[in-house]
Amino acid sequence: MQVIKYFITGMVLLLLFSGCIDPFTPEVEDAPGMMVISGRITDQEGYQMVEVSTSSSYSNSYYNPLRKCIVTIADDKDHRFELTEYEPGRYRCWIGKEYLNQGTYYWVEVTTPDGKQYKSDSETLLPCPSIESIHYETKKIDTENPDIAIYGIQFYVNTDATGSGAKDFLWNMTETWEYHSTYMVSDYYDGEIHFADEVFDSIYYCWSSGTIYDIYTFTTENLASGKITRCPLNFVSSKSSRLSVKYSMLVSQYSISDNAYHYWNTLQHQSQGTGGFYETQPASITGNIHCLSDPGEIVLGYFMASSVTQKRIFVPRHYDFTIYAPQCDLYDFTPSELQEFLKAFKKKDYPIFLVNLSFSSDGPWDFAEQYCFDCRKLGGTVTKPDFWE
Amino acid sequence: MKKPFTIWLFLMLVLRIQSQEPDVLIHGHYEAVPLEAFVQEAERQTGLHFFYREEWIRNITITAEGDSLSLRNMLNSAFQHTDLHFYFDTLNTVILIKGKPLITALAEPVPMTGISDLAANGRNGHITETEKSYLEGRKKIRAETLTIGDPNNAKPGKMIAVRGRMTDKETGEPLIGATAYVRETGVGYATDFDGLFLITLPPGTYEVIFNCLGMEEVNYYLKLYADGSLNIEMNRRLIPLDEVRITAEKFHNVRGTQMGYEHITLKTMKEIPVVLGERDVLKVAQMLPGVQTMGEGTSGFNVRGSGADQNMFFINKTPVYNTAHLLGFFSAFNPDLVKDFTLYKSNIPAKYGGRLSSIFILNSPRGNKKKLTARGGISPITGHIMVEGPLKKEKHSFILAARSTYSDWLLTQLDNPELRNSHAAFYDLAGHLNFELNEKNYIRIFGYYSHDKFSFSTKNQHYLYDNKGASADWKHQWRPNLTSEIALIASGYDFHIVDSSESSIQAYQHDYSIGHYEFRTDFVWIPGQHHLVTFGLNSVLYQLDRGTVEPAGSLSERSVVSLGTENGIESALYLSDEIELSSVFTLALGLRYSFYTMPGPSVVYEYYDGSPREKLYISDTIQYTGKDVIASYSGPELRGSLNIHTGENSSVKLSYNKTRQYLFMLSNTLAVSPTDQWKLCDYHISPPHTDQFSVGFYKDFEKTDISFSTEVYYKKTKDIIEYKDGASFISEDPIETQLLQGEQEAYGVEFMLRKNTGRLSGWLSYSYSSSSILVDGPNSWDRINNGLAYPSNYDKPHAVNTVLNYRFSRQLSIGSNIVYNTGRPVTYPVGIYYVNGREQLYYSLRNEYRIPDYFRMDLSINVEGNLKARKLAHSSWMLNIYNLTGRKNAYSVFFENEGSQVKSYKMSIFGIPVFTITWNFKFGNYASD
Repeated sequence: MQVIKYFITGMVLLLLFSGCIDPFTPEVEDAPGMMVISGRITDQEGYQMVEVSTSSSYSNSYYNPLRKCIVTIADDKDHRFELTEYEPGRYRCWIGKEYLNQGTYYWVEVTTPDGKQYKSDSETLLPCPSIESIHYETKKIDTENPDIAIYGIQFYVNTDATGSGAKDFLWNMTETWEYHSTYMVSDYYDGEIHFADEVFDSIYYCWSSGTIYDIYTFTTENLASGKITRCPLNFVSSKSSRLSVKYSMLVSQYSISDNAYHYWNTLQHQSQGTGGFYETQPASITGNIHCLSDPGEIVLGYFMASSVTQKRIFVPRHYDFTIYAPQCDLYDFTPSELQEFLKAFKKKDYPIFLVNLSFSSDGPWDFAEQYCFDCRKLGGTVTKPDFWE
Repeated sequence: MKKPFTIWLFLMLVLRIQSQEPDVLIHGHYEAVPLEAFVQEAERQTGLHFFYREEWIRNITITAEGDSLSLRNMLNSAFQHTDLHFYFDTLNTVILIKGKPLITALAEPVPMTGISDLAANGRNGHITETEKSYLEGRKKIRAETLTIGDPNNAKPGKMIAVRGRMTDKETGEPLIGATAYVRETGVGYATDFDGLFLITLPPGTYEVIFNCLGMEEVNYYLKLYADGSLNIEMNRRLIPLDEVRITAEKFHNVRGTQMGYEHITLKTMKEIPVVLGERDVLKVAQMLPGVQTMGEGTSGFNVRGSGADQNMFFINKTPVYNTAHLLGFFSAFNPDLVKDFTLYKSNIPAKYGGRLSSIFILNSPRGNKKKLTARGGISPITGHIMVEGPLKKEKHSFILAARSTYSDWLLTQLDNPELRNSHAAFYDLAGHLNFELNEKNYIRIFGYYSHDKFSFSTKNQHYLYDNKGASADWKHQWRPNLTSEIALIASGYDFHIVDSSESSIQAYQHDYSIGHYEFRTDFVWIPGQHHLVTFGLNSVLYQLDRGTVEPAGSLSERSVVSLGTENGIESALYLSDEIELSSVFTLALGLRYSFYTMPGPSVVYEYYDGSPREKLYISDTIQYTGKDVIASYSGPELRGSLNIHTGENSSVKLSYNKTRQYLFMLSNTLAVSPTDQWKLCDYHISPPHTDQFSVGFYKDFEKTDISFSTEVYYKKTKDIIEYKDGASFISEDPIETQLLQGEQEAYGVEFMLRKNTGRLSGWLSYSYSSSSILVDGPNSWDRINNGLAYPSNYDKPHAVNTVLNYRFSRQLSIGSNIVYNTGRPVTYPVGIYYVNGREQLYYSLRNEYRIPDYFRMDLSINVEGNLKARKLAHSSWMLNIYNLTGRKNAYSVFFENEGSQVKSYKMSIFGIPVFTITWNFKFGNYASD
């Protein structure tokens, strides 16, 4: 009976979970390069930015900025702001607070070096309520292997948009996290071994930061009230050093137009995997930019105007799951072996960091991979950000 | 070989005489009485006259004693060691002969093959005069003559209608699709769902050959004087390995006017390898030319390049709105409940309407009228059983069937909490009652219920859905050539979904239901030899409750959206006639006229001219009361076909078909999902309608029993319903803002080579097809794909299906499927662009690319239990290997952003060979049905 039970169980599992997912690259024809114009104007005084590029083919993708364009942001009060190219294809202009008012309509105009003119639909600055709170919960994600689960924290945003006049939202996030080296440098080698005496303590503490590329949108259209509670943002897994010491995330909340919501929401869904059992037809996304001389030309990208509010959250380490740590086993050398080993390093690699785990000043010393001493080798910086608590 | 044959023949004759002729009883005490004296005594007692030569019987004596002695036995024992024979004839005479036996009467009909085999094999073609005369004599008079009508009532020249019924002698069940073939006229008549047929002929004598798959052929001479009826009981035959004649199918292929028609019986279905251990009628249908699916495990199918909502599924007369169990891995029909199915792909009979593309009719058995019996099966996923038997012997019968999966129970046994909380369960129940009140009145009652529960626990989506249906049907014969059927039908589908996949704040639940209440009456009238007239009407009341989207869970802030209720009435009148113009031309003409009305109450929005149909552009709101008509549509549906017999075994057919559909499905997924809502045509949405033309060539190769058919079709559908990008059907937006109407064009050619009999049976089909949709309104917002035509989601140009079964013996057979088709169309990204450093995809025109081609090979081994005739139950094992080569066929190709980069993946459902073992049982022996 037991055998039969397992057989049957196996069959059922096969049925439900034999779906397998493999990397697959479809062969497609190269699409001609298309104009991409994207940018945003916010109610925050400062640089307003517009990006101009051309698209690349799917099979051979690369960023293809379009230089030497004339880019202008204009409003319905007859103000025009010329943008300057500060990086290839990236244009910006400092716009003062007095020109950034809710209810004003803005648009962008772009003239390419070969004289083609593009213009976006006008977008108005909508009010944006402040973020009420950001919170997180521990979450477990099951994988295809039933024995392996991924733990991490899931962030949620809560905003009360009731009566604010705002309905559609977009969130962008940047993350910053503190992490530490595995070993503090106790000694170093530069031909001979020296006691470090806290000189290298600074490379024990690192901060890393980055942009979260995922798109998060929400509309209160389907809700009874404007109260947004527990709207899911990103998930941070324990499979990196992000949660090892302290994690922080800055959430920028943009209040956007219906059109902009539709654009970003479609992008969000497309990037989350369209496959699956009940697959939908990928929607063609058209932004709000048009070619003036050729209305039929497809122009990608979106120019939006939005108010923005921000909130930062800090997450200290207090999890009940294990967190990834880099591989930092000590090399199993005798003192003489270590000397031989260290001699093999070239001068340009000095200093070579060592750790002395005994309390005696003359060793024995141990060697480990250098990133276990110098946290910068894992991509971070030793400069503590201003906002760090 | 000579001896056994002669002895056998002799014994047959002797037995025949002994059993068939009236015996004569004699009394007395005879002790070695000379035969001559005994004859005198016998003549005195019985009045018989004996004829013989005295010298033959001189030394023969009779010894017997008793009050009722059999003359036959006495003579037999007396002649035992002589070369004398005796024969009774009808004139009260007994003839004694010396030497060769005389052929007077004949044995019970025996299969001709048996005789000729023995004759041919036994003697290398040489047969004795006796045998020859036997065979010839038998041939001439082997058919009994049945007299229909009283010769005294005969009216010369008047057409005579013979109403007949063909039943299975063992179970009393009617034989469906059996044929009566009149040799003199070369016309075949097929039985209907009650085993009834009607022959109309001028008075005279005709030889009629009755045939049915799996039954022994029967011949009769019919002497027709006046209208009358006859009942033909047919004996089941243990199907010989090398020889079965399926005349019924032959008539359909070449002689019938029907085109685009597929009829598959249980026997065929039994031999096709199955997936997941269950014989699935819809999976079998998908092996036929012109039938496509979106992918493995999806529900529904696409017939000749049409949407999945353009097919109507009937089980008996009850429509089934969702044919899928467990997403679509199983069909909603218990395999025990399937006797046969018919799929009309074109040239849909005028009797049927309401769907544009196809009508799928599934027939259940009628129930054994002679004894209580049961059958069932167990596979790794499901178990099913059917019980049938008489309510009143020979008259009324019942069927009860049930099927369930035990996977839910299994899931709860598992340790993994994720799986433990998942549910995948379904069951279905059916009951069928058949009453034969008398020869002219039949009543059938059928009920059906199916239930499904499924959760994607990782996605927090929970589905529950039910089909239910019932029908009551009264068939009455008014005159031998006029019958009617009146049916009351109720059917419904409902679902309940809880979806928290987006976020707990947006979590919602939604209930939906559709009710179908139908009255229909159908008449069949045969006014003469060359006409078959059908007419009738039907009326359907649709009641849709599109339900309310409500918050689910305490965290949900979802606003309540009522999607409203709506009603519609679809009625139709039809009349059709099949006219035999000559022996070469047969014309079938049908006209169906359908009417559709949507009554109030309802609220309808008007939109400004020249602006998109969006909430923003509502110009007026019209309130309709319950007395108002919101919308009404009507139109003729012409159905016509012409059959040209180009030879005895070949024909060319032409047909034209018009269909209208007043109900469609709201679906924003590529595959049919349980939450797709049926929706009625309304003020804004006009009913789509299709014109289909087809031409076909059909040929039978008699010797090899191979039939060939090819059909070319072209169809065009106007006002087809398509959905805008990102359409939502659970939002406050009126439905007309979510969809557009366009045109669909499909054409193709289908080839089918089929061998029904012999050790090797099966079919090979190939089809080339094209299906495209064009939504090109006057304004940019009325267009999909920039107003350019695009391939439909289920357009698969090349499709090859082979179904083969090889029978090694009655107990062992091997089956195989080989399926190849072009990958379905898909929209791929063709460009990449960057916004804020993140890769974005730019997609091609809609469905410009295709996912990789599909190929699959299955194998099954059937092992039947022993062949003992006398046993309580018979069982069989079926070992199946689905996807033998383990090919990872793409179900979908999709793209995901990981960080700033896009990755692409292929998802396959069964990427490995799937083994299943199924055990089936039935009461009775191997041959029992």
